[in-house]
Parts: sequence; C-alpha cells; structure tokens
Amino acid sequence: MSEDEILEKLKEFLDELFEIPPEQVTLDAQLVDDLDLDSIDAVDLVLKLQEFTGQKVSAEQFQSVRSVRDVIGQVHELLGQAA
Amino acid sequence: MTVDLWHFLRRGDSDRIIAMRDEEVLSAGDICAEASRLSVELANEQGPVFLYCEDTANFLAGFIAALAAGREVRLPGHAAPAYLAEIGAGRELLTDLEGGLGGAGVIAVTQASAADGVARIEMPDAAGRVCFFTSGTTGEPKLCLKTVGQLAAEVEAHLQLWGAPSGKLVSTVSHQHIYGLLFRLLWPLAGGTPLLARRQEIWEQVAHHMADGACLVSSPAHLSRIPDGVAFDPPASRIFSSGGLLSAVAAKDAAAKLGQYPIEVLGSTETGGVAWRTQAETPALWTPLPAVEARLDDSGALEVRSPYTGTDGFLPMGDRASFEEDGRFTLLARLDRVVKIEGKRVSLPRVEEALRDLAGISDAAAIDLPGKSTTLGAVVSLAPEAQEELLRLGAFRYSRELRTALADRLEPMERPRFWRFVTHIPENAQGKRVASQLRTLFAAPARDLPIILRQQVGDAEAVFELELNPDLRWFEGHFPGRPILPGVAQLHIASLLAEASWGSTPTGHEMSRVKFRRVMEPGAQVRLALARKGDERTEFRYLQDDEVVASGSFRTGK
Repeated sequence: MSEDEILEKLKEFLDELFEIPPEQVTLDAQLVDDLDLDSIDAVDLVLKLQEFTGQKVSAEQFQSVRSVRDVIGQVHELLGQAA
Repeated sequence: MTVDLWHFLRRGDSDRIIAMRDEEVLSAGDICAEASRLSVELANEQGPVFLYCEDTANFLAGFIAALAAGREVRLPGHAAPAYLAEIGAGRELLTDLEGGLGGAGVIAVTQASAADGVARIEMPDAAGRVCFFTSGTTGEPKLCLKTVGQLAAEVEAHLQLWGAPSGKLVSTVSHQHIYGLLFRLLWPLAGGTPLLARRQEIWEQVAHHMADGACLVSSPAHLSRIPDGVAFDPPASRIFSSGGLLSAVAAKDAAAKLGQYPIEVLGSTETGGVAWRTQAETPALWTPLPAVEARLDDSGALEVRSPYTGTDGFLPMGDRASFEEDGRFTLLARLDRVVKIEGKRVSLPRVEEALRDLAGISDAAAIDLPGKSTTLGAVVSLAPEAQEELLRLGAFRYSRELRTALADRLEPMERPRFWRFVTHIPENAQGKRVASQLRTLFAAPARDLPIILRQQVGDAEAVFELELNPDLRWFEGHFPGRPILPGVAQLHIASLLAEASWGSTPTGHEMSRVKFRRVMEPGAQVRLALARKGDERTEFRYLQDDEVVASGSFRTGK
C-alpha cells in the first residue's frame, strides 16, 4: 500500500471517528495543534489502526508521532511487518 | 367540596358565552345541545372511547358527552394515523377532523354551533375517568389515568391562586394534554371566562386576539420563538407556560416583548401541577401549588404528594432540588439521563449545564450516540456573535475550541466528541426533547445532512423540516457560482433520514418515478415527507412553500 493510499485511508478514519474534514488532513498537519486530537482521541485512533493493519500497536510506538506524516510512516512500517 | 367545573354549563343557558370561534359565539346551550346528541350515540356502547378534536368547543362537547354516557375518555396526544393505531384508537374515535379518519367506529363531532331550544344533559361526576398518553424518553405511549375529581381539585387551586382568567382565554397549546386541558379549557370554564376554540399558532394572530385584554396559555416552544415586533397592547392579564422549563434567555425575551414574565407551572401528567414561579427575580424559586407537599427523598430527588396525583403516597419527580426555609425550592439537574461512555457514568444534564455556561452558547443538549462504542454528541445553538465565530472558523475547528473550553469543568469522557450547530434544539410538539430526534442529527457526518429544524416520525410516515445550510458538501462545485442541491444528494438525504427513522437501508438501485421539478438553493427551507410502503419501498417528497419540488421512491432492505 502506497503512502498516498494510506493517507486516503487515514482521512476516512479521521472523518469517521472525529468528523475532521478530509481537506484538513494534510501530511504536515499536527495531530494535537492542527487537528485538536487529545489523548483519548489518540487511543481511539490507535485502536482503529490496529484493526486496519491487523498488528498490535503499542502506545509507546505512537508516542513519537506528532504529524499526519508520522502516522503514515508508522502504518507503513506496521503493514510491512505484516507482509 | 371542590369547585363545580360545570357550573356555567349546567343550565344550558343560551346567553352564557363559553367559547368563541372566529366571529361565532358559542353558548352553554350550544355546547350542551351537541353533547346531548353525542351522548345518546355513545350510550350504546361501553368501555373507553378515544377523543381527539382540533377545536376546543367541539372537544368540550365530546368530553362531556362521553363522561355523561359513563364512558372512560382517552385523549390521544395527536392524530397521526400510525400513532392512533398504536394506542388502539381505531376502534372508537370521537373526532372533529375533516372527513373523520375513515375507518369504522369513528363518530364525527359536528361543529358545535348555535342551537335552538334547551338541551338537557347530565354533567359528569367526580368519578369520571380521563386517560392521557404520556411519552417517556423511549417515546412509547403510556396510559395515565385521572378522575374528573382530581382535575377539579387542581382547577380549584388555580382559582385560589390566580382567580378566574380575565378577559378571554387565548392559547397556543393543545387541550389533548393535561396542561392544556386544565389551563386552556377547565380553568376558564370553571371561572366563567370565554375561551378561544381554536389554537393559535402564529404570534401575530395571538397578539391580535390579545388586543382587548386576555390571558395567554402557552409553552416554552412558543415563548422562546417570539418574532421581533410582536407586542401585547394592552398587556396580557397573565401569561402561562408549562410542558418544559423556560430558559432564562427566553423568559427575559418574553418579558421584554410581552411586558411581563410568564408564570411557569412545573408538573407532569402523572403528578399534575406541582409548583409555579416567574423568572422576574433571581434565583427564580418554585412555590408549591396549594395542597401540594413537596420534599426530598433519600437520594436528594424531589417527590410530591397532592390531591392531583391520584395516589396516596409520594410520587418521585426525578429532579434534584434544594429547598429554602419557606418551602420554596430550586430545581437542579435531573438524576436520570446518566449514560455510560467508555465505561464511565456521564450525566447528560451535567454536560448540558457546562455547555450552557460557555460564552456564546445559548442552549445545548447532550446525547449518547450508540455505535461500536457509545460516544457523546452535543447539539448547540449559538448567540449571534458566536455564529460569526462559527462561520469564521468552520464547524470542526469551532467545536474543538468548545471542547477545549470544557476541559476545566469536565472529564475527558464527559466532553462531547460530535457536535451539531442548530438554530433551535429539536423538540416535539409538546416542547420536549426526545432522545431519538436528537440522535437523528448525528445520522450522518455534519456536512452530509441539512439542518433539521423539526421532525415528526411515525411508524409509516415521517416529516422533516430542513434548512439547506450553505456549507453542505453537496453544494461544492455544483455548480460554481450557482450552487443547487444535486438530485443524487436529495435521494441520499432522503435515504439517510429513512434509515434513521426506521432502520431501513436503501439497496442502492431501483428508484422509480423520480422527478426533480425545481431547484433547491443554499439557505432554502424545505419539507421532506417520507412514507414507508412496507419494508420494501420508501416514497419521498420535497416541498417548498407547499409546492412539490422533487419526488420519487426508492427500494429499501432491512
């Protein structure tokens, strides 16, 4: 799955989970500052990504994640593990 | 000995005015003549009879007739066919609806009208049975029995507190519910004050009827929507409100426009009237009605005992309250409406309180949204300055700011995740918020669904009053410079609301007789009428100013 495809998927998830308008989900958007996700939201997002990748995602893995680009990087890595 | 409700009817005088309908004046004799005619017909059967009339004079004739014939009277809250079927009103319905409702067992109340001669009819006694239908938060109708004696006891309390209504009685509420029956019909009847037979829906007309001095019986649904420019001259003798609490903003607005604070009456169908207040002073304390004992139970919830309840013991009200030394009290948040979000108990009233305290929010409702996991939604109406802020920031960013602003007062689980901005919080015809109606607003992402101003959902039919907010995603690029609602979006919205109403899902193919007759533009207010033909098909019609602008049907599955 390409990064573009993952971005599209992520837009879908963020719209579904938090009603974040897809046009606001850009690669450089910051999860906390631009998308206003808080810690609870992050837990929900992690659960969703876990479901999507079929991989267990630890909270620690997500601690360094700040931007949409970081999330895509993580997902890409997880999907790689699955393959 | 309680008051004689029927004192002014009893002799059937032809010069005693009971009601007014347009230019027509209806006397005690006219009402008795129609009642006596109906009573003969009703005496042939036994058991309960259902009574639904649009016109209060017709209703009164049917009411007396049924009770005089020894029948129990059941009062449907409205006349939607599916609802009437649900409560079993098909069997014997007494009604003044044009052409009846078809169906066997319908007895027509003909317009009570000027009659010749004197008709004698036995007036109902205190044991007469009157049943109301209440709707809980689940919306399922439940029977609630009152006797004529209980109703009379409450009317006596009104006469004691406020005397007879002076001038005439004008009302915006229906007599089919306990508040309307007591305040709009029985109180003026017992006090010898003429009443307007027709319910007044439009404020300009209300003001017109108030012009020679009158008493107004209304509700928060109307009192919170008084258009600018409406004024009462001379001032009303009194204004009443019940059926829900009047917000502080609405009370102030009503006082500014109508010249006085409405008298609010607290109560329910089960308890009858409990207490009254005005919001002229703050805090606005509730004073129990005469003969009502109000106190707190062990959990701090209000409970009441009175001659109006129909039981000897105390009845729980479900609200928390705090009492002053003089017996008056303040109402606090309700104890129920606690939902579980992520395993944590969240009190919806507490969330609403916190929302209403935020700058810019004029009213708010919180609602649990079932899904894979339950989440919390907020329906919010904004003050004008905040609406500009909403337009500037967009709904998403603005909702996030509100959520952050709640962080001081609420725990994370208590902070709403999904937000809807509306001009008015949806209410049913009785001015009550119904959970299912609030949930409908969240049936699809905010920019997929128009603003739902009002909705009425029955088993087979549903009507939605919609406002096509300009930020609906369907207007984007369709067409640049001249946005109109695409036909496919019209179908999509109809199917989303059909799904929210009945759980039916469109199969995505097989549409028929679809016609788009006129365009719908941003900002337009339209009415969407859905009719369900079994589980298989749903018909839709969009109307604008009563003209059909689009119609058709689509296939649905379960």
